[in-house]
Amino acid sequence: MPDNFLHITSTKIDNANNLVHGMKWNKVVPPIIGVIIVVLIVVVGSITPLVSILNPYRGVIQNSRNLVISNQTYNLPGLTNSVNVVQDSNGVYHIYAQSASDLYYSLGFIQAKNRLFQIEVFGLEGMGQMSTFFGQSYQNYDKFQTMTGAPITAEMDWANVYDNRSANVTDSTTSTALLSYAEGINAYINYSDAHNTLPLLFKLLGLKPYYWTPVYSFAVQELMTQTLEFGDSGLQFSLIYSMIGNATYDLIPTFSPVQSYYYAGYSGQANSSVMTESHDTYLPNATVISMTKILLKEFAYDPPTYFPVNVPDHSNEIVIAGNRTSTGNPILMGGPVLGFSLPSIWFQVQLVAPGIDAYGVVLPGDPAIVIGFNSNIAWTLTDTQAISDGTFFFVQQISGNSYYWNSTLHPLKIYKINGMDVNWTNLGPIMVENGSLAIVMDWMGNMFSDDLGALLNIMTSSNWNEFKSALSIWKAPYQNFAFANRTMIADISPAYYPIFSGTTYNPGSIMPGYGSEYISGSVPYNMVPQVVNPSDGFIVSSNQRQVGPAYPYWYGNTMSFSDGFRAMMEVNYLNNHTNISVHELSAFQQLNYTDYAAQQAVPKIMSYISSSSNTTLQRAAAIFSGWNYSMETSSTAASLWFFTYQYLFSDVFMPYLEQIGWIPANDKVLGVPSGMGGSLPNTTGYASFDVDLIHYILNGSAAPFTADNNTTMRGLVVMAVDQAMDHLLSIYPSGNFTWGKFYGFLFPNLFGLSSFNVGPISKGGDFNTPNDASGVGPSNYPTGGQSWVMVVNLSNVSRSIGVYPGGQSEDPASSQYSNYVSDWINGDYLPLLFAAKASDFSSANVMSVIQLNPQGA
Amino acid sequence: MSVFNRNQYIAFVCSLIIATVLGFLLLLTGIWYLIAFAGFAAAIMVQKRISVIFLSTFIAGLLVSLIYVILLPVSNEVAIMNEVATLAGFPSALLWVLMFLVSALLSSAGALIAASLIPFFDKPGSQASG
Repeated sequence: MPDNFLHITSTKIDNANNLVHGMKWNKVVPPIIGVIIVVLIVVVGSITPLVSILNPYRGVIQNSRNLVISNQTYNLPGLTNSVNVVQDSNGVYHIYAQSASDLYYSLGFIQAKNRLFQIEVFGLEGMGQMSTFFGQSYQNYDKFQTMTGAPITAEMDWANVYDNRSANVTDSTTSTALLSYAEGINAYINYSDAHNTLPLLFKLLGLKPYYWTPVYSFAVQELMTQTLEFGDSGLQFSLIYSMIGNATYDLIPTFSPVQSYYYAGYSGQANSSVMTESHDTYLPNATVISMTKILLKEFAYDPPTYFPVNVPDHSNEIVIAGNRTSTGNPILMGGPVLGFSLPSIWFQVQLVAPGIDAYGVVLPGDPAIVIGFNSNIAWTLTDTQAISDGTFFFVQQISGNSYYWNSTLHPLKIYKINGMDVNWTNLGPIMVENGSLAIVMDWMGNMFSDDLGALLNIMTSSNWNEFKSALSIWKAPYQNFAFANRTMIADISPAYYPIFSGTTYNPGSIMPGYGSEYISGSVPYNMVPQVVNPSDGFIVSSNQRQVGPAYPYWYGNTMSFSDGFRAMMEVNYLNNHTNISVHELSAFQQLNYTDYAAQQAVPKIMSYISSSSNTTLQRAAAIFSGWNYSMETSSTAASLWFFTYQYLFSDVFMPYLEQIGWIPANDKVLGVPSGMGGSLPNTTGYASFDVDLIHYILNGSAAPFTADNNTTMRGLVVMAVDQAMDHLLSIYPSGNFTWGKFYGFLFPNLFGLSSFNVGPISKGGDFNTPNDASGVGPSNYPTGGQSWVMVVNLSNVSRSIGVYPGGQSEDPASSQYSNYVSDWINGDYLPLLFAAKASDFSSANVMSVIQLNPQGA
Repeated sequence: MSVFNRNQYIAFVCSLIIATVLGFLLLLTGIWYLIAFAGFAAAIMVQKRISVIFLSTFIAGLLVSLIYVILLPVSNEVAIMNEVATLAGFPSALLWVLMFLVSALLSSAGALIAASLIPFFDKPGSQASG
């Protein structure tokens, strides 16, 4: 030992000497290089996500396991019994559970497995917490979202439902569903975290998912209510009224002069008290107008980028009675128009458990099938667009932490949420204040309601009475619910439609909120728009006004409803077709591009130009001649119609809007209007104006809304056709300006990753056809449309068809990311396989089987 | 390998196996940097010429990444890496190269660092023979 010790010691001394003196390169340089390499990699890893992303064990490469489609088994805590999940050959998940709680748990797990990032983003968006994921740039959005009251309402909704669960059957159903669903999502979060397969964007952004709770499910419902029923038209109306006074009622008529079909009736003379109320607008003072402009700008923050862009509500629903179908039983067609995104807003499933057997589409973060069918009934939804989008504005006086009501001071209610104080008066949250005045918003989305419970009950309804009863608690968003079973068709638009007290100021504008004017009740449920088995043998409810002028309650003005041309085209089609089959109806829904407005207006336009000696007009007349009013991609007449209409819109309205100070002084808050719902890039749609313009064309006069009232409609039309031809020929001198060169659909990635957009893809249609959500031109293709098309065959629901433009997975690398887009574009609906048991699937119809077992079983 | 004698060849293989197995196990912790310890340990244990241990631990690092890659569905990995490359604005091949290179460099860097300590653990003649 001593010798050895001496030897080692002397070697060390030699080495030390080498270090100090000779410093052999192979003793010093290699470790220095080694240290440099390690330090460099550590530094790169700390300042970029590169090292964590490329980590072979925890990094993105592990996400390749998420793309595997094969039979799989998971052992999960919280499940009571085994659950079979069949992914059919089209990628749709069919979940077979032995209890409702296991069913919703499994839905949460399976949906999160495919869409976790989307679910989490929707939850944050609803709760006004986007900046926790995406940083400072979302602070404005979060602040506005918090101010609207949506996060507070989501918390209160869940608290109410949970507290009432033992006393109220619907709340009990909701409570079970939401708790189980949240547990399922969280089980997937834990599973994927433990197995290093958290969705790619979590890894790339260095984020950790948060655990889901039922409050987030209610927040998603609030978000949908905002998407569908949250508007600033009351503010806009007040601002316009402050500029032109009573002329507002001509520019924005209470009732459309061209609509004739109201699915729930009440045609005839306008109700006189409704007309009086509509024409008694509160005149805001300069301070209120100033606040109005500020608030309109705030509304522009909603929605943020990480959500399908809000599009003009533009949905379609048709139900046809058995005596007009080829099957002898009713057929129901649904086509909810929403902003497109990849992943899509919808996730397609069949949910089966004792007492539940429903098929359809669910939202990210909510376990209820929104649109679908069960073995007995089918249903679909469109937006009513009624009553100023359920958003009412009042001017109130405030003083410090109090507000005046009937000249008495009351303390503000202060909610602390998301690090903010949100002040509420008795009417709602204060949205903006200036000195002693404030604009307060009374939004129907802020009312407590267990609307999720209503949807869950619909899923298990077997007849009209149960269906209608389930909807009796529905408050918002305002929706038309079309219904069909084997023998009957119906439609109902349930909601909390306010009735106002006091001096009956126009509720479609800002109202005084000093004590006499407030929401004192709602339209009784038996008086909300509805119809059962109409004599027409069909029902069309495509965002047009549901009830005619004789309806005894104030129900909104032309600013919020669709212009109704789609509905009229659909009614026209149904009036002229009998013995309709499922496939005829699907072809009509996706491939019929007839523009009803063109059908009405072009003959009139032709009468103005056909006798002209001007060669350009003669050429235009030749193009229009023989056109079938179909907005086909190959049609040049379609392009000519679109641009003629837009130029005419501009020639009629723009000089007037400049004259009254709308443009340029107020175009930042009111927008620059263009025709067909704002179909030109960077413009805004006003349904009232589209209604007006068709009315002017048909009646031959645009007075008083032309700068020079001596200008005849003939002169305006001739000028517009000439302008349209010049415009089109300047782009396509050969004259080959087919509609497909201007129009097509774009499917943007939900998270703003433009590399994973799909499209634009040419397709026929325009704003007035079923399949559109406005926007046109090379840089502004429609990014919305019928987000789920479904035709249910009530003679045998297993022979129903449908498709949505997207795919079941949120991962662009997945084969299921956008695989339905081409089917949707081509109108190729997929069979909606409806099987009572997992064993009913033939092997040809199965893509994979997933077994979910209770952990430890 | 012709530049190596038999002892060096055996040392190369031993170092390769040690660094690969250890690297694979250490990466199971999820901390990629720990692969450097695999190279370090292999170098300390084998104590051969620096070129031998550098090369063996470098290849071991590559193998560690390769093992993780081949344990996963390869076609899906390509799709995922293409997706990340699209987002990052890099060529996909660069990401693959980096994933292998980082493992290899960490492993061999550990071995290089160990080289400075080998004399303190040196057995008589081991450096000379190396």
